[in-house]
Amino acid sequence: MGMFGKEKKACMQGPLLFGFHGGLQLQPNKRALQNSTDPITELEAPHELVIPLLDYNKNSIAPQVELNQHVNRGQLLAAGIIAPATGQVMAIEPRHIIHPETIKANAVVLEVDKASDNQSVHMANQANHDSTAWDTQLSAFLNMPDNVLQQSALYGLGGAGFPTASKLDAALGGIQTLIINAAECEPEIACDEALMQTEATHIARGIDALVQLTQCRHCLLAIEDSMPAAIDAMSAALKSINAQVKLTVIPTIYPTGAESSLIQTLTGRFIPHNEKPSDHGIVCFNVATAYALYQAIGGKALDSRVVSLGGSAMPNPLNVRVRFGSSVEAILLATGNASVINTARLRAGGPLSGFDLDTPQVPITAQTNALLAEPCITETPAQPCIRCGECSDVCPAKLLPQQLHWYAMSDDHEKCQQLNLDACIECGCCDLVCPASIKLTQSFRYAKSKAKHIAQHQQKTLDAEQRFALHEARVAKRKQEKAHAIEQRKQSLKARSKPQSDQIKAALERAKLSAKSKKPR
Amino acid sequence: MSTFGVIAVVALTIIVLIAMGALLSYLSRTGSEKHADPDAELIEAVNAVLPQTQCAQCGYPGCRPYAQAIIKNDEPINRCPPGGEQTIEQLSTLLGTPVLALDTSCGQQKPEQVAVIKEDICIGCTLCIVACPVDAIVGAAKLMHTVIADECTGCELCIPPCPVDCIDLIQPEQTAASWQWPKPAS
Amino acid sequence: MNIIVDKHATGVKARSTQTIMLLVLLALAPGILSYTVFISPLVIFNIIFAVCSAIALEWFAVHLRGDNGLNSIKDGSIALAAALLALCVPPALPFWQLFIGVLIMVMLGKQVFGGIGHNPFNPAMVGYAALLVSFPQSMTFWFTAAEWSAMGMQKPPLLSLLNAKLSLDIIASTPNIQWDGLTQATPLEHARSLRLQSLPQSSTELNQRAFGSGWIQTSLGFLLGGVFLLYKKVIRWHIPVSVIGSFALLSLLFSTNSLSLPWSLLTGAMMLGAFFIATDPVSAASSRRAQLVFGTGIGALTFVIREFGGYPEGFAFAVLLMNLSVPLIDHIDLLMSQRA
Ligand code: SF4
Ligand code: SF4
Ligand code: SF4
Repeated sequence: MGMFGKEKKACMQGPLLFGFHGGLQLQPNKRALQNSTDPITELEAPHELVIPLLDYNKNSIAPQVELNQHVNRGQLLAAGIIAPATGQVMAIEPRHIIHPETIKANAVVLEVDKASDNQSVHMANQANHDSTAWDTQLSAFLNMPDNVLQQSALYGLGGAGFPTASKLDAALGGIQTLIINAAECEPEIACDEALMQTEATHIARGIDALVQLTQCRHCLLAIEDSMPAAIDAMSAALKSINAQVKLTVIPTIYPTGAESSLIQTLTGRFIPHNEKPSDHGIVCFNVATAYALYQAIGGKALDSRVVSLGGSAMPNPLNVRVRFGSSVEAILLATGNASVINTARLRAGGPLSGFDLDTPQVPITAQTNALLAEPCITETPAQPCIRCGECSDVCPAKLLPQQLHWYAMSDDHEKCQQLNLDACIECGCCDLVCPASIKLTQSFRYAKSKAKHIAQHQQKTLDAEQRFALHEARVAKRKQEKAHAIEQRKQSLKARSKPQSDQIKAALERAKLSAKSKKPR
Repeated sequence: MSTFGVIAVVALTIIVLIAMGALLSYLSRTGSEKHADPDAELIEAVNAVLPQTQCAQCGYPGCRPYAQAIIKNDEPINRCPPGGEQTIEQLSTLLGTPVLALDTSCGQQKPEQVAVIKEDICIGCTLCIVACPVDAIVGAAKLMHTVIADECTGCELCIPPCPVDCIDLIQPEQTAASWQWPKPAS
Repeated sequence: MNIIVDKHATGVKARSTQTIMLLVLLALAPGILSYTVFISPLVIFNIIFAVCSAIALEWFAVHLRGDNGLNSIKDGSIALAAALLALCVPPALPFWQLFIGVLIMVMLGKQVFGGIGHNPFNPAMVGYAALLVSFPQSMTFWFTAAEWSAMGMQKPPLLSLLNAKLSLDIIASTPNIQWDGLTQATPLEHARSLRLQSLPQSSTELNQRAFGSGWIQTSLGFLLGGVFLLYKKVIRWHIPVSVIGSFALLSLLFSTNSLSLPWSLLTGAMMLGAFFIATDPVSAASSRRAQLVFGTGIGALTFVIREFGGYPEGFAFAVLLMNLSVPLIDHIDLLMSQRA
């Protein structure tokens, strides 16, 4: 909004911070950390793991294992998907996935072999303690990064679940600034903070590996000012390994953890939604991804994550490390939170970016950063918009939510595009301040998914048209070829009969001639 | 009101309006477009609106031929059942003709569907491959055939030729990729 | 459907529309108080009468549309609009005329467009403009209680005025009064008539008159309320500042009025208008940048109408004219931000 858009300016310790448009200060509830003694509790793999066969774009992919096959922890189940535990493939069938509306997807169902799985945990722990090996492992990784990346199926753990390998590819093209995102701006989510408190050294090594791999000019680790313990742990760890990383403390303003807001806060650059940060020489990784990379370099694939159990109705809030594919129900049972299953509203993800769950029998994935139990509430019905403009004041993407909402609800996708709907990061700030309780964010999610659907449909239509044209052309060609062949056949028949008739003619001519020549004689 | 006042108000109004108009036209200007062959362009536009199911229910061997017929032979715009009301409306705005009810002699509008071959019954006769207008069926003679669900338009043209009636039409299932957020109650 | 944005866990409590309207009503209190004390206590009757009839009419109109009338009364917007209308009309306006103003405000100003959020014009100003055009004489009948008794009215002023307000025609019911003298009772009108008759304007005399009539005090009350609204972030600075700023600038440069600048800001409807009327979110421009343009337009038009127009106060028409151009301003603003 150019000249009158007000940008929050904040100058904290370290480099100058720039801030971003809008945003909100939220209650920094972190029950998962505040109410338990251990920052992270390790959970055993449950009896059954369900691993949906979906890629980053949620398209189905084919399994590379068979029914009843025995798989080892870390073995590939499908392209980019690894087995989170040792066990046997019990089924490959459609199963419920973690999703806003109950939906099924083809999944590998693993029965965990507890004995050999425990052994694998034990071995992994031993490998972790062997720190002299790190330098060799790191140099091996720096020489052949692809080996590690392919084997360990790294995904971004920030929420979007973007494959790390493709992001690193972009980063290898030469970047200026590497940003490690440790700003966990949503209330109730404390997994990154807990990880930094317990695994600071390993995270520091992971970050160091990223710095060395990308050869970036500078690397910033951004932590919110509301996590003093994590800040202390990380700065000590970075110092101890002498990493070229600048720890930057940023103010806790939601959604500062969103990639675009964070880049803006740290560098002052506003990256339009249709450009990638790497186009501007910037790449962002989540702090948990850096940790996963550390583990991957040490030979341990990414098969678990920290999940914050929280929410005001959670009896025993804490952070747990769980294998991918563990069901929400199993996690709640194992942590003494089983009572919430029937009494509270379960939610996957934070209060703003998450979604309510219809059933707890769904497996968690790399994107599940929190499981919340909240009391069941009835929402205030939406009232007419009074055009107060609060929504655009808080929008970090500098949009006009109020106008967008109008067009989103009337399915005017062209207007939505004009108003830059695609730039909406679905942060929910506009909902939080709207005096008329309008469901702005939902309408944007609706409009976006609908636009995507329409685009897919149009592509399909276009493809159908092209294939039809090809089909027609082929049919026509075949017809023509047939006609041509018949014609040729006729011609050749004629051609064969022609010389005959010529010969006869010639013979007749000759006969006539000889007769003539005889007459005068 | 003094004479000066009247003149001032009128002059101010005119100046402001002219300035706003100029600004508006400057801001909303678009590049001029070239029109080569109006007919061909119209056919393209009509074809883009048609659903490309290629089912031939309109009486033409596909959507493009029907589009040509609409422009060249003034064929009515209500003969496409897969497109239904929505397509008719779009066509009527595009061509500036009145909205008509769907000509049900061509067929009824149905929900989205795709064909599936019961693979254990299929005898591999290749008749459906020949019938499919969009090449969405793969298979070779005497071997099992299958439908590529993503490419099938649900045109039903493969159903009659099948000698063993092994092709069904089903409504495509909701998948994680096709799921949409529901619209909020307004 | 499931809950998408779980507000309850974030600690952010948005003010509801109702709270906003109530806060604005609360912010009107100091202005109403000084109006009652320094200009006329009759305003209290006007406010009560206008609010009650507006609520009844709103309920009726929404009911006719087939919606729940209670819901739309509850948000408080119509009560606020009615209070604003009552503050704009002269205290002695007969009740039946005020009722017509309220009727037009509710029906033509708001409900014909579909109720709150959909009205392009400020409802209170629609009612006010309709009254001004229909009943020019009683709509310019301004005086203070002191002036009233100074005119030698027999009964205690409040009672006799109430009596007049209940009558059909205020002018017929108070025959002893020199009407010509009274209709110029507000300082603005006085200054204007002096200017039009090319009489010498003494600024000290004008200023004294302004203070004596209670207008200054009342405007200060509204200013106080406005600052409260700004502090509470119910309104933003953009509209009031641009309205007052553009008006002040034009007055400084071109005014032929000898009323000094602070005085011309504090007499008339400038404070009430800039903080309470122009800031009505529904009929104002939407983005902050567009609001600056909107406010500047109101200030400039008010100046032009005050200076050259047929009415001594031009705020209502300025607001309505700028309401009319809101779609244009918003559109241009949007195109400009897309260019940027
Ligand atoms: S915050 Fe709500 S009421 Fe205010 S302008 Fe935005 S959508 Fe309208
Ligand atoms: S949800 Fe979208 S529109 Fe709303 S504040 Fe966030 S980015 Fe802006
Ligand atoms: S009826 Fe079938 S072939 Fe004809 S236009 Fe419609 S979809 Fe295309």
